[in-house]
Amino acid sequence: MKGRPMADRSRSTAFAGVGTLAMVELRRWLPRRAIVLAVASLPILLFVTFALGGEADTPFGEVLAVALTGWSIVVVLVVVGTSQGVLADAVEDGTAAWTVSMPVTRKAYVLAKFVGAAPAIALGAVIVPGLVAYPFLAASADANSEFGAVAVIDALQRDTSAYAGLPSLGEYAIMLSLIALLAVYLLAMMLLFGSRLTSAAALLGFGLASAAVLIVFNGLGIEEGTPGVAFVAVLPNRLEELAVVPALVASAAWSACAVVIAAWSFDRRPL
Amino acid sequence: MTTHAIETRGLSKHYGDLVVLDGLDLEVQTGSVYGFLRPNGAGKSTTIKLIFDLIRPTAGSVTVLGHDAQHDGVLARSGVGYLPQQPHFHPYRTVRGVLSYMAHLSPRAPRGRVLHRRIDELLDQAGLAGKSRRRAGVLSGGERQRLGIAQALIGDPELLILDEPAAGLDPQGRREVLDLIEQMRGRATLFFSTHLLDDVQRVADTVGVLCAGNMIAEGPLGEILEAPAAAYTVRVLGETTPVRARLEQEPWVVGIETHLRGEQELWEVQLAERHAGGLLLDALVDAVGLDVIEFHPTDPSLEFAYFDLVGGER
Repeated sequence: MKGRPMADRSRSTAFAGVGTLAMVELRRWLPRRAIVLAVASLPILLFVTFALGGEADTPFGEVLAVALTGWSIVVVLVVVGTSQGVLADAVEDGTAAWTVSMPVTRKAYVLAKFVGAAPAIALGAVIVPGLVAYPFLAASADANSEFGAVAVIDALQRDTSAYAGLPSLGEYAIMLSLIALLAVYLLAMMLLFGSRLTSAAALLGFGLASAAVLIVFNGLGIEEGTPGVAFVAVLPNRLEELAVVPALVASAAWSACAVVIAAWSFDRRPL
Repeated sequence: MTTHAIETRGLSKHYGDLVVLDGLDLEVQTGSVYGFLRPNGAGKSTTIKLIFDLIRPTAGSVTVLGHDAQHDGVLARSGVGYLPQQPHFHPYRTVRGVLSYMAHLSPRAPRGRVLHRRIDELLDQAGLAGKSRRRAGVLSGGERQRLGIAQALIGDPELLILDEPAAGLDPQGRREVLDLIEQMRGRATLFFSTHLLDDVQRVADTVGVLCAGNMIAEGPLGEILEAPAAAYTVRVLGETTPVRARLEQEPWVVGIETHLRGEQELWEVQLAERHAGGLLLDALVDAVGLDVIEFHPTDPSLEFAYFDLVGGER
């Protein structure tokens, strides 16, 4: 007889369907929503940078730190706003009940929501606009050049390490990764809240509160090991002090914990 | 192979003091077409949600195709096709895309070219062959319902659960849905809930009547129709008001439904007992100024049986 007994297949298919469901979720985000996120995110980053960059006496590292911190907060707001319905809307409109009435576990459903939305949010809200902004930031860092197309092209052709305070592309990528993980963590938190709540106002409130907790952690200086470490990473010279790999792992672990709790909670929710 | 496609034992669901289901014992024989009748608020939706483990019971158990619905849910659902009362498809998906998506979530559905052929077949069967590229979000109510049935069939289910399959459809759509159910007879066990008595009478071979959280009658359709109540069709002319008022006071009269036919009145008189027909005839003949034009037992109807069972009025 071909194949395994049905009971064995049942155990191995506890997460069956995740790929299909994740693709459905990803398709909800790509390309339109992700482009909207990127288009909303990029100008804010550039605006903050150039608005502050006009101060000749300010070291560019500080300008960039303020810009990235401000931008991170905007990213937080955008992610909370756009992801509040990831699970709650599906519960509200009945597609969640319809989907889990198929041979799909609720854990698989929640995991697929996360796996599908996380790359779209990370890429759309953080990675793509962040990388696109880099040459503009480099141009801005050149105190002697005025911002413009020529300056940007010029900056792209030069060794950017020559600019005081401008992180190398590698360092900048790590900063972006930490901010992206912060965005992904907030998505996981929105899934967690959505596993119990359907009210958009309550979801937004809880989402913003969870972001505020991270900012409070920062204020108390206990941000290391939390997704809020992204705010520290963008400060001048702090990235060097950070144990980057543990920070990345810790941020990812927070997200994973939130998703696991969301799956557990959703499994017990009446639909 | 289990003889019951669905079996519940002592199934109860309470919400605080509200008892929605109270020890429901339900048995759906494999291969049957089971009509699940209920008045609103009787616990029908709750029963279906418990079958799909969308909610957890306060007490009791549900077995679907031999598997515990709560602890072995994926296996239990892998052989089940489901049409919800209001199907919710991803609106951006095409009709074909919905079926393809469902097939990928169903372990029993074919893959590759065989799947394409199966989808073509189902679209044809559901009358949606010309609309395969239309987005699900723009389908009419009837088309959505037919797509819902097609998606329920994609995994070649052993058990098909249809929640109000003909609700909200025009007569044509309703007939098409019932025809589809007919076509499935013998190929799968069908369990459909409805409040449309005619639909049950037309396609079901087994009926369960749920009222106030309890199964008050369950069995073959023929047995349910032989419920103790009797009904008579009466056509009268003349002074109808006094005799009708008098009849309504009689303990053996359950109810009288009146329809005007010109100067005549057509009554459907529901009696508490079958032998009360003689009393009814005596009362009509003795009535002053009343001509009895027609008098005969009404054909056995599930409607009469149903209202007799639930104790309500038509």
